[in-house]
Amino acid sequence: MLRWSLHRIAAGVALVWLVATFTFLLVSLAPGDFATRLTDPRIPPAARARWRRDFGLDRPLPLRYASWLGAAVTGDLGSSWIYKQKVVAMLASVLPNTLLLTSLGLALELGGGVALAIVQLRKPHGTGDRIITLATLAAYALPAFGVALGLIALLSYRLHLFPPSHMLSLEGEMAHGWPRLVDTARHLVLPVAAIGVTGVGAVARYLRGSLLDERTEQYVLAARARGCSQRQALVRHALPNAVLPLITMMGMSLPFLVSGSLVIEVVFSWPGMGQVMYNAALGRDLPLVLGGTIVATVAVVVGNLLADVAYVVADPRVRV
Amino acid sequence: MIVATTADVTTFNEYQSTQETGELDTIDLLFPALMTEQPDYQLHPPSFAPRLATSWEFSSNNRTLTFHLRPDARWSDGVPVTADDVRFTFQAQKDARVGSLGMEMKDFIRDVEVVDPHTVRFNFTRVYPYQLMDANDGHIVPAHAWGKVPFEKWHTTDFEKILVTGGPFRLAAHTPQQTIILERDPGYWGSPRPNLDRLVLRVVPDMASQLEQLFAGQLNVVQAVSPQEADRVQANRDLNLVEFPSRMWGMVGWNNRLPMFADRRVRKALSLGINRKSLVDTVFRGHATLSAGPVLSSTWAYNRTLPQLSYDPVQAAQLLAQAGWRDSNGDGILDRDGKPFAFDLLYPASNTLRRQMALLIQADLARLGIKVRPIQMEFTSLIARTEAGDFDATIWVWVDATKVDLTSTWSTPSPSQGTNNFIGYSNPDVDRLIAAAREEPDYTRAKVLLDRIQELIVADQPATFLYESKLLVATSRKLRGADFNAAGLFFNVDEWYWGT
Amino acid sequence: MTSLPRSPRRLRAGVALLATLATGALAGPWFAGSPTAILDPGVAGLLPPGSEKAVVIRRDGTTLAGESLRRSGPDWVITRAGAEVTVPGTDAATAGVRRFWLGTDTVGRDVLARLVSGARVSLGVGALALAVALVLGVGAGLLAGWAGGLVDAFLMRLVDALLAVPMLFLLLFLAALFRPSLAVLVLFLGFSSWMGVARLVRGQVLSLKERDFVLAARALGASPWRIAFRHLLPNALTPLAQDAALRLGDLILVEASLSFLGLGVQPPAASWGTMVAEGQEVLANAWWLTLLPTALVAATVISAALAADGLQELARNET
Repeated sequence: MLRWSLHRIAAGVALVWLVATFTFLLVSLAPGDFATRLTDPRIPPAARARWRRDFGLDRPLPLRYASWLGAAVTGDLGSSWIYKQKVVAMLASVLPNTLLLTSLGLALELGGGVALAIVQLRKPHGTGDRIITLATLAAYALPAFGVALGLIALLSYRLHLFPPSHMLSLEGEMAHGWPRLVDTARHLVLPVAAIGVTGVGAVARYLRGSLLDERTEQYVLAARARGCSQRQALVRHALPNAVLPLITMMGMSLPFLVSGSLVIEVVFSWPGMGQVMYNAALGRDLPLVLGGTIVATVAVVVGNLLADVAYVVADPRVRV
Repeated sequence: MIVATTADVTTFNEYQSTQETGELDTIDLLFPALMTEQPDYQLHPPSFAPRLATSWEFSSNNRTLTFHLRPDARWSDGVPVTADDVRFTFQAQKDARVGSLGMEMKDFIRDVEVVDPHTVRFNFTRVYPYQLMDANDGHIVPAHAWGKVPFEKWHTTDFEKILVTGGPFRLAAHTPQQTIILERDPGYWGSPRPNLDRLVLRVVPDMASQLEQLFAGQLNVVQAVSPQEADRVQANRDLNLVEFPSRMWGMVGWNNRLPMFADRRVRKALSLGINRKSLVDTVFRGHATLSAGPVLSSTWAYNRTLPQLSYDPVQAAQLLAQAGWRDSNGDGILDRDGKPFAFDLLYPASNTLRRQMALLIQADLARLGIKVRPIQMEFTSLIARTEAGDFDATIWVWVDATKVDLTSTWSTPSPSQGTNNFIGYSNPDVDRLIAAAREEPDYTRAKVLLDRIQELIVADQPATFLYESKLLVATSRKLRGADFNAAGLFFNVDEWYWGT
Repeated sequence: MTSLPRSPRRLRAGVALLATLATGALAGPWFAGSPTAILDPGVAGLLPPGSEKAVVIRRDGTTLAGESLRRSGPDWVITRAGAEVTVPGTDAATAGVRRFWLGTDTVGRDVLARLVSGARVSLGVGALALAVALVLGVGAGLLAGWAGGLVDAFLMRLVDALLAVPMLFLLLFLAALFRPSLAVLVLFLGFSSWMGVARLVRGQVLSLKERDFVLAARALGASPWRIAFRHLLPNALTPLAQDAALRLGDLILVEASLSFLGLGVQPPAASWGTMVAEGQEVLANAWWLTLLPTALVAATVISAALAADGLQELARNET
C-alpha cells in the first residue's frame, strides 16, 4: 500500500510538471500575448514593444521557461502581470471563496441525491418515484445559468429573501466576526442552491439506476432471504456496489471544486477562481494561468487518487 | 453612492497599470493632478482648470512652464504635497524600468526642476500645441511613501500595501474582485469638498446584472448602458438616463495591402454600398451618429465641410464594374481574374453590437454581389491577427484621446516604430501633412492642415467610417449635481449629492 | 423474452420525443421560412411570440416591415412606424402579412425558423460529438480497466493531464491553426469531452472485473473482446447511459462557447447554443430568445435520458 501511494505521488508530481510545461507552451504559442491588448490609441505603439520587453516576452521561449521553472520549484510562482500581486497570494485569497461555494454545492448534490434515491426506492415505480423522477429529470436537463437566473429573479428580486450577488453586502464588508459570517452565509444560499439543484438530479438518477440494477443481484436476494429488510439489504449490501460510479463522479468533481464554475461566478459576481482564471486566460497573464493550472492539476491528481482508494475500500475485490 | 464597474482595479499605481478597465477614473478620485482637463474640446484644444496647481505660466520663449502649487495640499497621511512629489512623479514617468504606458507623452520634457517647495518648473525641448496637456498627463504620486521602492521593482510591487492618497476620497476598504469602498478624506484640501461620505465601487462583471441591480435599487450608477436597454431605463420613474457624445467611434477596416482592397474605387464602392445610416439607426437606436472621417465630429479639429457619403448602391455597382469586377459566371457573386469577391469580416465575439453590424454589412454587400463571411473571434486573438496584417476586413472601434495626433493611426507604418495603422494605409501626401500638423505650435494653423488631411483620407476611403457613439449613463433619480461628460465619469464628483 | 409491463413506456416516450425533434430538424426548413433573412430590424426586431407584421420585400433585397398594408392600384402602401411608404408594384418582390409564431431576434430574424435550422446543427453536431466522445472514452476506459498496470496508469495520467490543462488555451491554439468548419467543430467538441466517459467506464470495469460472471467467462476461455462487449459493457450501461444523455446537453451548450472563440458555427447560421448566448444579452427585454432554445436543449436531454432509462430497464429485465 505504501509503495503504491508513493508511486502515485511521484506520478502526480511528474504530471504537475508535465501539465505546467504543456500549458506554458500553449499560452506562449496561442495568438496574442500580454501586450497585445494595449490597443488604446493614447498608448503609442512603441509602448507595446517596450511593455513586451519589460515582461520578458521577447526572450526566447526556452529561456523564459527555464527561469519560470527555476523559481517555481522553490515555491515562487512570480507575480500576476495583470494584478501585480504575487500569484500565490492571489490564488490563496480567491481559492477559499470557490472552495466554500463548490464544496457546499457538492455536499448538497450528494446528500440530496442519496436521500432522493433512497426515498424513490421505497416503492419503485410508485407515484412518489414517478414524481421525483420527473422533477430530477427537469432539474438535470436545465443548464446551470438558467437555474441561477431563475433563482435570482424569484428569490431575490421578487421575494427579497436573499441577496442577488456578491459574497458580502457593504455592511458585511466593513464588519468582522459573527455578523460577517452570517452575511456570507446569506450570500451563499442562492449560488449553492443553483449548483446543487442541477447536480442533485444527476446523482439521484445514477443511484436509482444503480440500486435498481443491484436489487436483482444474487447477493441482495440472498440477504433478503436471510431476513434483512429491503432497506437494510439496499443500504448495507447494494449501496457500496452502486456507489462506485458515484465515486468516479465525485472524484471527477474535485477539479470543479477547485476551479469553480465560470458561469455561476459571473452570474453571482462571486470572487472565485473561475473568473480570475478566465480573465487571466483572456489577458494572457502567464504566471497566473500557470499558477491556476498547477492548482487544478493537483486537484485532479488528488481526486483520482482518492477515487481509486475509495474503490478499493468500497469493494475489496477491486485491484487498482 | 454605489457605482457599478465591470472589473476590479488591478492596481492603484497608474504607472504599473495596463489602463484597461476604467481604472483611471478611480485613480482620479484618489490622486491629485496638476490641473483638471476641461471637456471643452469642441472649439479648441481643451483648457485646464486649477487643481494641485493654482496658476501656471509659460516663459517668453514658451520652452519653460512654471506651476505654482497650493500650499495647503496634503497627502492622506498628513505630509504636505510639494514640488518634490511632482519631480518624483516625472522621474517615474520617464524611467524605462517603470515602463509606464504614458512614457512617450513626456518625450519633449527634458526635466522638471524644483524651484521651491511650491513652485515647479517643466523644461521642454521644443514648442508645440500640447505642452500643457503633456505636462499634466498622469497623477502625482507621493515621493515620501513610494520613493522608497526602487524603480526596477515597480512592475512587481503591490502598492496597495503602502497606499497614500491625496484626492477627495481615500481608500476605506478593498475586497478583491468585489468592492472598493472610498470615503471622503477629511483632510482634503480642494474645494468644493465632496458632499458624499462614501463612494462605493461594486464589481459586477455582467452588464445585465448591473442593470437588474440598478432597477432593484442595489446600485446607483451604471455606465455604458447598451442602446437596447436605454428605453427600459427611461421608462423607469426611479431612474435617470444621461446621454452625451463619447470619444468612441467605429469603422470597417479594409486591409489595404490586399489586391482586393487596393483600389480606392473599390473601397469607395464598399462605403457607398453599405447603408450606414440605417445600420447606425438600427444598431444604436438613435444613440449614435454617422461618422464621416477619421476625426471625431465633436472636436475642434473636425473638418465641417467634409462630404458625407450617402447610401448609393447604383454608384457602388458602377465603381465596382470600373474596377474590373463582374459576375462572369452567373453565380450572383462578382469576380475578377477568376477570383470571387469574397472575404472574411472579423469582429470580437464579446460584442453584440458589432455582431449586428457584421450581419447588416453582410446583407447590404450581398446585394452588390459581394460575399461577406462574418467571423467572430476572441478579442486578443483578433488583435494579434490585425497587428500581424493577417486579415481581410474587421470592424474596429477606437476611443480617441483629446490630443489630436493622427500619426500612429494614419501615417505609413514604419516597422521600427510600431503602429496603429494596421490596415496598411499609405499616402505620402497625408504623411507629410500629418508630420507638419504635429510640429505646428499654433492650433488654428494646424487646423488648416488637419482639414486637408481629412479631405484626403475621406477621398481615399481606406476604411469605411461608420459611427460615433454616445455614452449612456443610468443613475438613480436621487443622484443630483452630477455633470456626466466625456472627460470622465467622476468629473465633478465633488458636487454630487443625494436629493429626495 | 418475457413481456415488459412498464419499461417500454419510458423508452417509447424518450424515443418519440427524440424522433419529433429529429423530424422537426430535418423536415422543418421546408415549412419554416428563412432563418437568416434580416427583416427591417428597426421595426421587426425583438418581436414577441405571436406577433404579426406586414412585410414587403423589394426586388433589390431590402425589406420593409410595418403595421398594415394595402394596395393602391398596382402599388403597395405600407404603414411603417407611423409613416406611409409606397412601394411601386414593379419594385416589390413579395408583400403580405406575416405572423411570427415565436417572435423575432434583434435583427428581425424569425425565431421559429432559426430554431428549426439550428436543430439540425445542434442535434447533428451534438450527436456526432457525443459519438466521438463515447468511442474514445469507452475505448480508453475498457482498455485501462481491463489491462490494468502500466496501460491503465498511462491512460489515466493522460486523462488527468487533459482535464487539468486549461481547455481555453488548447482551443485558442487550435482555432488559430484551423479554419472553422463543422468537421473541426465535431472533433474538438468530442475530443474535449471523452475524458469523463473514460474514467467512468474504467471505474465500472475495475469493479466488474472481479465479479463472478466475469471470472466464470474467463475460466471458460472467452476472449477479452467477447468479455468486454458481452459482459462488461452491458453492465456498465447504467451510468454510461445517464452520463451520455447529460453529456449531449452539455455539448450542445458548449458549442456556443466554441463559437465565441471562432470555432463553431459562424453567423448567420444558427445553432441552439449560439441562440442562447445571443439571447442572454437581451434577456430582460426579450426573454423568449433565451428561453426557447434552452427549452429545446432541455427537451433533448430529457428525451435522451428517458430513452436511456428505458434501455436500462430493458437490459435489466433481460439479464
